[in-house]
Amino acid sequence: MEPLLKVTSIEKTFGDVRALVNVNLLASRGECIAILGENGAGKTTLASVLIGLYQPDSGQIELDGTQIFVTSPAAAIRHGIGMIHQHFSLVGAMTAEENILIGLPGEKRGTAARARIRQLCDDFDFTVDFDVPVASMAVGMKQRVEILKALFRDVSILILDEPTSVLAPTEVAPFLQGVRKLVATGCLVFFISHKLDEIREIADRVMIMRHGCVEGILPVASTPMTQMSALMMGQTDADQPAEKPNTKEMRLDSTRAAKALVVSDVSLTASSGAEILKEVDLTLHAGEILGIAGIDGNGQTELSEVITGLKTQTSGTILLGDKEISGSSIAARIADGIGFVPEDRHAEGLVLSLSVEENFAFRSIGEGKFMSGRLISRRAISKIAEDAVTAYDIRPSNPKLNASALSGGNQQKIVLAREVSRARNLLVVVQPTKGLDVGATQFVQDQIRAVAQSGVAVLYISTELEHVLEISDRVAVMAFGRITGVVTPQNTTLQDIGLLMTASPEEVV
Amino acid sequence: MFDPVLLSDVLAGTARLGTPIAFAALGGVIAERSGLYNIGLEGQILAGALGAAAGSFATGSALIGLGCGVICGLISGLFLGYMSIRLRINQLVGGIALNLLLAGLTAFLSRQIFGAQAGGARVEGFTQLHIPLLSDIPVLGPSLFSQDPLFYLLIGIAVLAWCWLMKSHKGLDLRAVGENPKAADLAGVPVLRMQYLAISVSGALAALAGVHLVLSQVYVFAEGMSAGKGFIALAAIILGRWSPIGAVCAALFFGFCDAAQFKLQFSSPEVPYQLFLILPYIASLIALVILGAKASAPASVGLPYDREHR
Amino acid sequence: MNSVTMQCRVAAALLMALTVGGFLILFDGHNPFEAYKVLFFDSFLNYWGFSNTLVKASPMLLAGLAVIIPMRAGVFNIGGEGQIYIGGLFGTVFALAVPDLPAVLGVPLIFLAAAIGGTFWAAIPAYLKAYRGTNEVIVTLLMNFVAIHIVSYAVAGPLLAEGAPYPYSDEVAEAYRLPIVMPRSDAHAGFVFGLAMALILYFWLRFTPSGFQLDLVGRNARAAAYAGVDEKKTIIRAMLIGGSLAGMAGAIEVIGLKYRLFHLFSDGYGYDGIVVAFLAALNPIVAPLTALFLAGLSAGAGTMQRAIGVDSSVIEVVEGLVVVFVAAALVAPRNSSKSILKNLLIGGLFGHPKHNKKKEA
Repeated sequence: MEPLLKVTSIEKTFGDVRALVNVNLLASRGECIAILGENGAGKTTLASVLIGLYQPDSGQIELDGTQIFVTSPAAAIRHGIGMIHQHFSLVGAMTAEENILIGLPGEKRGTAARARIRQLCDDFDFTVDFDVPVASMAVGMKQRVEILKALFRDVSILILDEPTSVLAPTEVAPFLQGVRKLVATGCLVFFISHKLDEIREIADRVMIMRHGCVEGILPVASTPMTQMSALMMGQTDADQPAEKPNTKEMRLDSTRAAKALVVSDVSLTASSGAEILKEVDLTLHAGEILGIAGIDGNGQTELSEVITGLKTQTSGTILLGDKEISGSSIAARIADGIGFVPEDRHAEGLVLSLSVEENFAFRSIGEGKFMSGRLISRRAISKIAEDAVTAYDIRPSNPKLNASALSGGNQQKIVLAREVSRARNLLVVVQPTKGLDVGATQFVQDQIRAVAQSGVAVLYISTELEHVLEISDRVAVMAFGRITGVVTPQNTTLQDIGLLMTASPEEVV
Repeated sequence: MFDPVLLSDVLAGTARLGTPIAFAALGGVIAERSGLYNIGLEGQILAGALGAAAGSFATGSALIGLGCGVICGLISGLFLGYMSIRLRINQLVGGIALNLLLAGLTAFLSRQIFGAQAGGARVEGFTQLHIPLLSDIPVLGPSLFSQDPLFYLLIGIAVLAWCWLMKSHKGLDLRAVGENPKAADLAGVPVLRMQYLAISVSGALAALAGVHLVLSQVYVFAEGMSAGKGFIALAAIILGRWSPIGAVCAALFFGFCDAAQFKLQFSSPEVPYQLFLILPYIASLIALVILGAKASAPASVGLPYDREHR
Repeated sequence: MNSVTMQCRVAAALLMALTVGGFLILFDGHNPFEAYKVLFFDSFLNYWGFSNTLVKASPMLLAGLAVIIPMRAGVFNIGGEGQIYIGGLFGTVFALAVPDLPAVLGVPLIFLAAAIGGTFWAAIPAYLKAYRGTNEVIVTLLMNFVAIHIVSYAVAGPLLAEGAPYPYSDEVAEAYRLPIVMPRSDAHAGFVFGLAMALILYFWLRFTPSGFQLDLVGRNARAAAYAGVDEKKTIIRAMLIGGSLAGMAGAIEVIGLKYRLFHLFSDGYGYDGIVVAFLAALNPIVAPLTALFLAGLSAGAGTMQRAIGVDSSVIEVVEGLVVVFVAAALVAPRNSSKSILKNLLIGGLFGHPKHNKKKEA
């Protein structure tokens, strides 16, 4: 079949981050192509380029053999390219019909429009309540409104960004059916997802992305899931043992050490009813590094938030040593000696408009070491900062500079230094190596190992499987908010871990 | 209190005092519906007033005065738009700055144009328009149907604005911009262009308030003659639930309270007239708290839109 | 943006505003240099002129601080005007009700009463914002009007002085009047009080945990949550402090200047406070300077008019331009090499501001 879309050598760089690197793609009408990759792989960036939100630095896009320039969302609509974002772009206060008609030229909005919308609903077997504002609709119905928006605009290419991430389990099947119908009418559908079972069900081909590059475009039917997940995570040989030789000299026999953290039967249910964490049981011993592996979005972030106090679990208990901390405040947990390196260092871990030295102190400013009597001692803060800057080789080394002036790696060092010194019992780190180069990554890993060796329990949550495996004594794998298995790196293969990561809810006990 | 003459007087006063507030409130509604605060209404009223006085003074024609006033309003609206949209200055600060700027500028220019006796230079204005038959109705007639032409213009614009905003395609697009500019952008609506248009029209409407003050009420330009009406208009927008017709009704209600309290001072001096003055504000506050501002104010008002922001 | 660049930009903005004002003066047929010379000499270097400047600067300073503290916590307090009125009311009521205390006891108590009044007036928008998410700008605006009318009723009714030709209250006792700091002038100790408050607040923000945490909430609410700071409590506390400061500004106007409560006694000082706060870049220690600057401009305008013949409205224009230019200067992107002028003039009406934001990997 004559290709509908031809993407050649697309590049996109933001600052010093290469978001898209030499992306090439050929796609035809009536195809469903899944785009698979971890967070930061470039899936959403590619979609944003196709939809006109970003302009590529180089490369070209051809539609039916002619080069097109998608300079704005309006241009994308004109070319028949539509997208449904993960978190929707609907006007809550307006009805479904109004949302569908926003931005269209006058002729298309006449009385015939109403009839056409109803017709589309019938064709695709959609149930939509046209009399209520969108804000009061269930998520599944909102999504159908989004799809109707695209259908009404006669898109020939539709991009779906993690469409099932917001749906309840019962809404997924009808949704996938709708997608199938759409593909059958000749639409080219891009299905961005990291859920391998759905990709298997709905896609013809899968395009795997990693760090902005296309790792491969493979037919779904003949590619095993383990190969897909391996490519996604950057391993070329799925059968190799998880443990790389020479990465860890000393394995801790953790079962003999004191229990530092016991998480019992912890569940977290959202107000929508979605089960974010389900009956999670974990035990960490002093001096042990427990890795939490899994594809992003399976509850890892929420687990860290529940343990550190940012969220409160719906049920279950958490014990720090002998002390129950299930309901205690963040401040109390900070005082109890829990260090926390959060996922988003810009939004949570640091205050960019404050100086480097103030960033060492802001999380527990009332703590004795920052104070002189009842007042903040700026001198003490400076001293502590200077020591940390030297110990961690933070550059530039002037602690009075604003934190925003430092690179990602050095910013992470600030957070790490601060939380490592705080962690007397437990250190929780989430995505500690995100956005860091090789040197900075190595530094972070070494620091975490040193912390564990000093007797502190470490909970290491990351989607970079390679890093998790090289540093952890044991690894717990999460999928759909549950722990699907706990393994030791030297006794497992990547294939096993891949299977644990992609276990569907029914398979998990 | 129910003496028909008194009532008629109060109604007439309502129209007279409420019209400038209503024009300004209409302008404010259009701006806020597009997602932009217009705190500069007060200054824009003055801009319109000066334009009207200058135009009428120069040509002797009230209509040209009206045109000039509207143009001054458009320009000041555009300026506020530039500050808010392009420079991304905090919209509240921008509005306050505009008020200061225009208060000074209009005073300065009025002295240049009218000379030292600015207060004394009388200009040609609009005279009352008596609608045949309707103006003979007792009580309502003299007050509602014998008003100056700008009053009828107000009613006409209010209805038109409501129809456009709530029923037309572009009105839908504008409301989408104010509620969720990202969604509107993705649907192909030219967000920034619509905001610029909205804020300019907003300025023009507020300027009509000033035009009314000069050409229908006092026939001169006086420094600071807006006397807080631009701020009262902000309250009317809230009470009127961000609807063009609602805001105009609310503004007229403010006018009513003002007219009533004035009469009350003479007819019943023992009753504190301030009660009437406070009434509309308390009503707005109650409306805000009980009905919930979140439910009625455009969801994205005050937040500058940046396409590249994730 | 580091503070040296910022200060340079602010200075450049001020100069630009004065330049445009200069052109207007020229257009009016006068010499701008002479006009400005008269203005600044009179406001700051002349004994009587400076006393006038001080008088105006006192309420402006406190009103500015009343905007700064909430703003540092991320809340916009434009209810200063109403808080001044209610504060002045409470202060006056107390002073008239308990007229026989010695000054050392009475004056602080009057300030306390005024602070309570302002706090009460700020509490309503504060709680609405924290617990119902109601927009504080709208609520405080409305409450400003209500406050003005309440005071208007009070001085025309229950507080009306005997035989008063227009609405004002009785005089407060001599003991309660603020001492004059510049003999034979009107300049009272109010500015000194404001200065003390500015220093205390600067110190509080910088050297105490509670102040630091308030600032934190304004900078990054999520990081503040991560630090265990209660956002709601902080917002309320910030607004209440702001209210008490504005309330005390009201007290100062009553026991410092007129010694009575007047109808419409605050001539927009609450709104001037916003400009003071903004020009000080929300730093309490700079607020006295910006308050003096703004007050000097305003006080000197009249003298400039009498001496040179330039209309005082030019100064209002300059004030407006100062805010616009300083605002533009402060929001210009940190890594942009464009000058303020270029940013204002060139720039394309319909263009999108092009930033190259760092993408989170």
